[in-house]
Amino acid sequence: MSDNNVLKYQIISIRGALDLAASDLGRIMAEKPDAKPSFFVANSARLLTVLTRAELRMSDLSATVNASVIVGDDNEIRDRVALARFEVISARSGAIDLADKGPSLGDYTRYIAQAVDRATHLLHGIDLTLGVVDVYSMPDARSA
Amino acid sequence: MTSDGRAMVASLAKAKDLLFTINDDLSTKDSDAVLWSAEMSLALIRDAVKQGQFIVAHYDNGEEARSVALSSILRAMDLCRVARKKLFWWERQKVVQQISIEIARAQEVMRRVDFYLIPHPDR
Repeated sequence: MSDNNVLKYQIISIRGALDLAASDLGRIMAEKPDAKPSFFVANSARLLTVLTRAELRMSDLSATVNASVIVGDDNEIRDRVALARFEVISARSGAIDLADKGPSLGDYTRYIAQAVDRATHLLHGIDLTLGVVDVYSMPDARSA
Repeated sequence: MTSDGRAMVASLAKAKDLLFTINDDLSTKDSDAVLWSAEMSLALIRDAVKQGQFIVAHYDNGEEARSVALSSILRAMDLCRVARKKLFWWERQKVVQQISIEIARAQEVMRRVDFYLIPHPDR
């Protein structure tokens, strides 16, 4: 697979993971506060799994961007990837102790949802149309 | 003014000073130690802003100003934690820039803060 396709695949796969996280968060926020604790525990655990996957993929995406020359607006893509990675890291740290939040779970869930939303928005801003993002492999740069 | 009141005013004043020194530190060196100390200072500022009572020019009420300042401070703290992760140089540059932006937002609110204490209703 060319670097161009690797980048696209990684971005699409992270978007997928973030969509799953958003749907888990939506389910948690829609549930009544007096729902059984097991509901929150199960959904928080699932959310954490999804966000952990997203964070690992974001780290791979950063490595791809770092080791490639992007023809076009290089800084724009780096900025978006960096900011999206920060949001995903924040969302995942938030999800780690979501299950213990008790009454403040609502605000906390909203905070994670906003981070997921911002990351999704940043990644959607990267145009994947052929020719706009053009990545050339730089094997030597990978060891940097 | 009670001793609690004096302590509150002092901690808010200290918080304001700290906000202005963190940015100076970050712009000269962005080592892990500086980021760690910035996060600790931001925690102190967060506590002072949470506890203090203040009014701010150009805001309808102190609560709105408090919420704007708090949200920037919390976000800057979050970013300090992110910055200590293993990042590429361009990510590190970006995260430090973002921390500075959030601190500048909090500074903008705090710059207009006037400290005042509401008398206790029972006194």
